[in-house]
Amino acid sequence: MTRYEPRYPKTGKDVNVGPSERLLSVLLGGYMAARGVRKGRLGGLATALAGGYLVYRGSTGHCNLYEKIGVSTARRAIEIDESVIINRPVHELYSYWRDLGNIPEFMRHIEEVRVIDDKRSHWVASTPGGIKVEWDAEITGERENEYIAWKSLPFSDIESEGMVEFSTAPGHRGTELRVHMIYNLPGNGAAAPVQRLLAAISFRQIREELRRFKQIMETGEVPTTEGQARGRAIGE
Amino acid sequence: MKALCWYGKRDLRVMEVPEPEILGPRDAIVQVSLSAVCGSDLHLYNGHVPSMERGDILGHEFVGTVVDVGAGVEGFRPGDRVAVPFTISCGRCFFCEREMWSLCDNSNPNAYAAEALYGYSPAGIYGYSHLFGGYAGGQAEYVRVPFADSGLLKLPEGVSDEKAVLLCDVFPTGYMAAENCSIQEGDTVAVWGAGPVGLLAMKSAFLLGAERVIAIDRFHERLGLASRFADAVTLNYEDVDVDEALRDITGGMGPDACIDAVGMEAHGKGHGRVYDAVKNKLRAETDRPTALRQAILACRKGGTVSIAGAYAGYIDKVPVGAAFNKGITIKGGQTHVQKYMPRLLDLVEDGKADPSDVITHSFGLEEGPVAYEVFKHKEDGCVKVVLRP
Repeated sequence: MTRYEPRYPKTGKDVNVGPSERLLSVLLGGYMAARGVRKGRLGGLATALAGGYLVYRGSTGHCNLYEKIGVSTARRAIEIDESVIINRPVHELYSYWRDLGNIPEFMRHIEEVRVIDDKRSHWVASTPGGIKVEWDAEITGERENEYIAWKSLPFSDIESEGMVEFSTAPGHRGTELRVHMIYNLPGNGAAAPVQRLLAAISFRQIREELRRFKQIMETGEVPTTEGQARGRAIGE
Repeated sequence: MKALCWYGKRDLRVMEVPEPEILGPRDAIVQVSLSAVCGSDLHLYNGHVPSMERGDILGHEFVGTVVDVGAGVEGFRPGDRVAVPFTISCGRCFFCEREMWSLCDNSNPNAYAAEALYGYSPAGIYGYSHLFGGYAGGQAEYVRVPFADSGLLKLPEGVSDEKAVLLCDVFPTGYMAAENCSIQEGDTVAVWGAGPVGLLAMKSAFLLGAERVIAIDRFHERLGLASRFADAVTLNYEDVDVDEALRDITGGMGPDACIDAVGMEAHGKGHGRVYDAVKNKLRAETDRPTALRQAILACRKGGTVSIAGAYAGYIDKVPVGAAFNKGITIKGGQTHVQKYMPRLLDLVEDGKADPSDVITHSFGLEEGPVAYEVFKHKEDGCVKVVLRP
């Protein structure tokens, strides 16, 4: 029997302590360790050990107690995995996606993707508040008809990376497509539009984007009722 | 144009609305020559289906003439006389390719909402709430038909609007209900509900080889029609104990297949009826499954219960123990209309079936609100209503 495992298991220990708390933890721990050592004797040793743990906790960002009681003061990355089966051959889907200029067709919040060269592209997103957020991204790895991986370039407004994988689905069902995306949440200093954009990103949004991708590839359009006749238009 | 719009529970209005436009490359615009009111429209009318919005245009059974097509439509052009299946289907997804048209993966723009309720989304349906896409319906002068190339049936000249409009839903629904019974020679099929779908399920059961068909209802006119139109043995559940009667008729074995052609607003009698009425009021149950419960209990061991009447939400006190221990197969679902339309059109053309016999009333579109009231209360022996724009 094969047990189900999430596709991208977390490795190592999670960071569950926030940055300022980590700094405080290191400083306080260092002070306690120094005092404890100077004091000597058993009480001093206990203080020094406790201080040492605080330094460890601050430098790794992992707190065992927080883990036990399920608390985290760290900002975490948004991590999204979604998959969809599309009734078209792999090469069609791969080439449509690899032509990055097509991406706004199915990603509603992306207004434009301008291809700069073979690897780099410029992205423009419109946020729920109507303000634009822009960043550059780079393709970090690709294999034709298998996968495309990308990452935002350093000093971008948005820090993100992602990967889309294509594989032939069993039973003549077309292609199985898997998307894995990580958005690192910015610190408090980030611009409000960036925060709004990230707040709106969820697995649901990615799922809808993949649904639109599927609709375009399978039917040639995104089905809609926007603009159809209804009673309210004139009646009220 | 004029359109019949939903404005709330038992509040329909004929409104002047803009004419529909082509929105997608595979759209067509059809000028409606005849539409019909479905029993499932009454579920909307009575406020049993969630996610209706004020101003929604009703109607999912309609025939007419193509007046405009999008750039991507092949095989149809203005002037073609057509019948439109009530299920909107892309024709290209896993489900459409396997003839499961009512389960189309792509036609519901509000799939996320249906997924929240059903896990996965069924196809979009004309004028059948926003859960099923919020598409404007055909009880209007014009209607937009998405995916026209897989959503239209060309009509030969000899087939009247009255016959054709029953190919949009009712006849295929009755036929699929009977087909789901896997009828073998000599079988007895019991059908709950002698409305249009029930009557056509009875007719279809015979077409598929049933030996005997039993109709169960409480209206004498409808049972009379079941006897005349479909040659059924009739049971009025207000006069006889249905379970006993079915046992008796089938020599103590029970019907081989039972069709629930009633759905979520069953009436029934006795404590079950009170139970559902109270739970509905408390919002602890959305649908009333009286017919379904009875069908499961009455069915013979190893038989089939086929659900044709529409359900939307949750039901209680379903005798799953009976279903399990008697090894019963339960089948159902919205109709895969496109699958059945061509063969049923052949039957109609060859004169082997005339579904228009179930039409009892005809109104102008502007009399729509009256037509719904008459149909709801089954006044004047009303079985099936058509509306002419």
